[in-house]
Order: sequence, then C-alpha cells, then structure tokens
Amino acid sequence: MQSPNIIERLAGDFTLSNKNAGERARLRACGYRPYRIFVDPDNWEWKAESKAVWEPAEENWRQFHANWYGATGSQSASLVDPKSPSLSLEPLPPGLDPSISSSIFIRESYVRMFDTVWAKAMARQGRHGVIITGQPGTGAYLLSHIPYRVRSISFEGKTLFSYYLLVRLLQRKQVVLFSPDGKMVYLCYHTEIYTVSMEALAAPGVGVSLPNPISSSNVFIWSLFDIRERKEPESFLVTRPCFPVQTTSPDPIRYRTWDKERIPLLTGLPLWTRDELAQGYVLLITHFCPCLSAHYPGCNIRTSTAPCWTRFTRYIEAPLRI
Amino acid sequence: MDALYKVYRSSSPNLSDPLDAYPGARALLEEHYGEEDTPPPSPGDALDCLLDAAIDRFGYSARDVFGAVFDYPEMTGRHENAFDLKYADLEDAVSALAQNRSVGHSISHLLLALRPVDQSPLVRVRWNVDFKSDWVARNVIRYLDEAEDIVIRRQINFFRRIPEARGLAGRLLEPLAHRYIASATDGFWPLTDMKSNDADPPQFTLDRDSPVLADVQFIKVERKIVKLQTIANLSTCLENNSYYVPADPNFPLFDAFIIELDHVTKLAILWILQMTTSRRHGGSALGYRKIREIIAILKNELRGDPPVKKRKTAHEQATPTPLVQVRYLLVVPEDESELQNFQWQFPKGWDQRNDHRGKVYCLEVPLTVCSTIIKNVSSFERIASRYSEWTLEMCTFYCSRRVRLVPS
Repeated sequence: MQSPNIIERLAGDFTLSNKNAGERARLRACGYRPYRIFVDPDNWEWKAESKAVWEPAEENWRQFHANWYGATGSQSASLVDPKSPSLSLEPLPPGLDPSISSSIFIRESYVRMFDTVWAKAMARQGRHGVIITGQPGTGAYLLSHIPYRVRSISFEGKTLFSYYLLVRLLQRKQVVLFSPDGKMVYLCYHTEIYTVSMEALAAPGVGVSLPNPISSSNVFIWSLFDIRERKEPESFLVTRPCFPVQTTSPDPIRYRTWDKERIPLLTGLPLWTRDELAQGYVLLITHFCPCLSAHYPGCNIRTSTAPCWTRFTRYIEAPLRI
Repeated sequence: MDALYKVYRSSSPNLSDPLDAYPGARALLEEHYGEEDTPPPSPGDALDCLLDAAIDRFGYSARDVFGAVFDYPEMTGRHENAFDLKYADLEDAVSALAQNRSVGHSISHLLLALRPVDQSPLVRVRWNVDFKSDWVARNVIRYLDEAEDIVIRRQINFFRRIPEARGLAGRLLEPLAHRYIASATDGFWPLTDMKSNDADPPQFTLDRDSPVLADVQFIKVERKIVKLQTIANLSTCLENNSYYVPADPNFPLFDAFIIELDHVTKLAILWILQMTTSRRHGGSALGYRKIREIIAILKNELRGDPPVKKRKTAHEQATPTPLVQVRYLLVVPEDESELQNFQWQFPKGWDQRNDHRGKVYCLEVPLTVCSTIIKNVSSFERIASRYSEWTLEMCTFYCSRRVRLVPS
C-alpha cells in the first residue's frame, strides 16, 4: 500500500516543474515551504509557424496572467489559507463565462485536490492525467452581485476548480493550456498568454501548434479543460506533451478514449462540509452587500456594526422585534 | 445587543419588514425561537439556525443551501417537484451514478448525492450514492410506507445489489422496522445501554458493559401504528399500545414514539425511537421542542381522571405530580449493524433545558428475519416468474406508480 503521505510529499516536489517553467528564476512559494527554480531555459522550442496560429490574449487575460505569474505577494497566501478563502479572478470579466464571477470561494477540498493533481503529475512525470468528476449541480461559487432571486444563479463547482488550478499553476510558472468551455483555448507560455479558438486549433491541416519540449527533457504542458458539449476532447488536449486535467460531469462519453489510452486518475470533489458551508455562507452574504467589501475589507459579519450591514442585519435582527 | 439595535434602528429609516425579501426566513426563525421561554437568538445564532435548517432539508449541496438562504420555499418547491418520479427512474438514476455515468433524469440530482470515497492516495475513487438529505429520503420513503412488505423488500433487494448504494438501501428498512416492532409480541425487547461522551451536544455510543436497570423494560406488544400529522393531534389519540409515526417528512430528530401512561402513579414514559438507517444528519434542535410538546400533552392527560380502560405499567411508585420520563431508543436493524456506527449524535440544545433529556438505549431489531424473507422473496419471485406472472405484474405495478409525495 502506498504511503498515505505520498501526496503531501510530492506536493513539495518541484524538480520537474522547475524544468517546465523553462526559465531561470527563484521564487518563494506561498504557503508551505520555500522552493527554488533552477532550470534550463532551453527545455522548450516553439516553431514560428506553430506560434503563428495563436494571437496574444485579450488585455484582461494578459493582466490576469501578469497578476498571477510567479506571484508571491499577499494574494498568493489566500490560495492555501482556509481562513481567507477567497480568490479574485479580476480582471477577467464576469460575463466571460456565465459560470464564473470575480470571486471564488476556496474550499479546503480545492487545496487538497490541487495537491493530488500536482502529485499525480509529478509521480508520473506528466504521463497519465486526471479526471475530476462528480455530481453536477452540487457545487457552488459566489457571485460578486447576487441576483435577487436564486433562480437566476447557476452553479458549478468543478469548473471553478479549474480556475483555481490555473492560478496555482501560474504561480508556479508552469506552461498551461486552458480551455474553460471547450470553445476558446488559452496558452500560458512563460510570461506571455496567447489565445485561439478550439475550432481553429482542431481544423484539419493545422497540425500541432503547441510548444514542444526538447527531446532530452521530460517536461510537459498542463492541459486544463472543461468541455461543455457532450463530446470527447480534441486529441491535442490529451496527448503528449500535455498532461490532461479534465473537469467534467459524470459521463464517460466525455473522456472514454483518453481514459483508456492514458489511464488517468479518476477522482472527485467531495460534497461541502458544514464548516465550508458556513464560511461560504458568510462570504456569500458579504458579497450580497457589494459596497461592504470595498469599504470594509475583511470585516466580520458576526461582529461588524458597519452601516452597510444594515440591510442584512435588519433581516437577522427582525425576529428579535417580534 | 442594545447597542446593535441602536445602530440598526438609526440607520434603518425604512420600517418595512426586512424579512419580506427573504421568503421563509421569518417562519424558520419563529419556529426555532418562538417558544415562550426561549431567549431571542444572537445574530450569529440566527445565522447558524438558518444554515442548519437549510442543511437539514437539502443536505450538503452548496447550491441548495445557499439558495435556501434567499428563498427557502422556492428551493423546497423545486425539490418537491422532483418527488414526482417513478421508482424505476430512481433505480436507473442510482445505477447510473454508481457507475459515474450521466443520468437521464435531470431531476435526479435534486434527490441524490454522489460522494467520492477515497481508496488510497492517487488511486481511483469509489462512489457512494445516497439521498441528498434525510428530508429527501423521508419523502421518498413515505411513499413506501403505503406499499406492501413485498414491494419494499423488492426495492431494498434492488439497491443492495449496488454496492455504492448500500446506505440508501438501508434507509428503506425504516417502514419494515416500524412494522416489525409494532407487531412483535410476547416478552420484552433486549436493550443495551448507551453512554454519553458528555460533550455539548452529546454523542452516545454503545456501552455493553453497563447493564440496563431492571425497571427499564420495553415490552413487546401488538401496537396500532398511528400516523400523526402533527403533535397537537396526539391528545385525541392517546393510547398505551399505539405506535406513533410522524407523517410529516419535515419531522425533526426522531422517527417514531411510544407512550406508557400510568394514571395511578401519574407517571408516563415516553420512548423516542430513531432508526439508525434512516438519518445521516443528527436532526435539529426543533426535535427537542417536539418532545417537550409531547411531554406537555402527557402531563395534561395525567392531571385528568384515569380512564377506566387504561392499563397500569410496571411502575408502582406513586408520584404526587405528573412526571414524564423520556427514554431514547436507537433502533439498529441487525442486518445493517455491520455497516453502521452505533452512535447517536444529538443536535444542539440538549443541555439548554432539562425536560427533554433522558437515558439513551440501543435496540437491535433482528431484521435477519427480514433477510430471510428477502431471500424468500427472491425465491418467490423466481417461482412467481414461472407460475404466476400475475403476481409479478402486481409488483411491477407498485414500483412503476408515480411517486407523488407532495402534500396536497
């Protein structure tokens, strides 16, 4: 039987990921422990004709990428700190994807799942892959502006995890292919981010347009994707040099072929715990009063007497006046 | 609190009821804090109360829980609509989810929860399929209550064949266990003591080393099963040999109760029964309030003249004023005992008042009898398939009826 600490041990293994980063750098990981990156800058090659397929990503994506690439600041601490479990995706536009918002509640299980995905990649040197599935419709995320009626909210926990995963990988300067909906693809390649439509990449004759590891290296590209349509992913997403991480509803049709070929780790996000629900609940209410976050960052709903709490506290206090 | 009031009042010129914006919240808070001598909640307690109410009803799906914060009735209605399905559809959904396949019936995610079960690090997970919450389960089981034993056993048998759904199958034992206890005669049920961990709220675990006192006896006697719509109705049907099952699937904390009234000694014993297979969540503190309501009805009854036909209990000691002893009974189907932890986690509020507290015991119901019957059912079905297509058609008819569980 494997050591129960294998995930924990490999969570601190940066040997291969340093090579993936493809540049000489030194940074301090947020959270657990410091680590160094000493890498060979020549691990990657990207032919001009392949690169020509891509365009620089939109400004908000470039800004988002710049915010997180190699980030070591205070915003990084919140990624692994259950006490401040909020991740801002700004400046990504809330309307970019109807299932995301400018703020993600980071569940403790997100942190554990990241370690699992990381460990799987490191243990197999980028071979295999991970499929994260589970029951659709039981996750949740927090909108920056909660609609008045809940019927207008849609939720998807697994999708949001892919954004969390992206941020964590950018922080570690990884090369990441990211498709949150199966339509657009983003390539985070060192300090740049590019984009192209899935349709263009998958068109006949286009060929593989990704950067390639040089033959002497065993580096890989993280390929994070969530295909909304009920179909299998395009093959370039799931073949070497990609290490696929697919978030999907439970449906083998969405991953049958690559599941057989690469035997990925099939795993799932657990349901929420009461503590997570309580934390998310407070964060949800915080966002319900949009001005609160701006004026009183980090305020505690249970103790604050800020005027902008009025609406909610009246809601809570009203029964006392019955 | 006074200071908070001043802040809120001074900054709240609008005097309309702020709860109007949050349907259902007022009713929930009034239900929990409406008792005369219950102190008003702090804002934090009120938040916890609403959160627990949502979890109790909808389980641990964040979408449902957060949605219920803003509109409890709408979220409830959405789920109630999902109860309108066939058992065959439920079987399909459970089978599909157990194999991590997509489910054709979109409403299944309103009823079922799929939980990954870790085997070991970096190994594929297994899956567990169960109802999303005790409330959902009880609504589904309520339909089974009306079914013949053979139909219930057929359902149990089906779900037991799916390893991922063993827990779900166990929940369906509840109606059988009720009938079994209510129909057993001759002698006393063997009880086992359960001891508290003295936490608040407490958790009780089996204590086989501690003998049950001799005067604690749970008699086997044929009992009439009475479906109670509300506790208030109890006063109209007080009978020593009745077996009361709350008909409302919202009912918190316990699954059935039995009373032993002794008008001579002015003593009543209230047995509170909970099936270990029927609830995953510890229930809510509202259950204590229901118990106190029952106690009040029993005391009121004991204050009156003893009806001639009512029989004495084993309690000989006279008491000057009406006294109600509460005894909690965790009912464990022996068939499921290996799957269950023999624990009873009580909800918050246990220590807040004295009157609802009592000793806790465990009753192991020999549902091996049911297993035998289930095996016999399988044999019976095989025989029936050869010789009596009509019987199977009857079973199929029951199982394909639409499950409309919404109260009219």
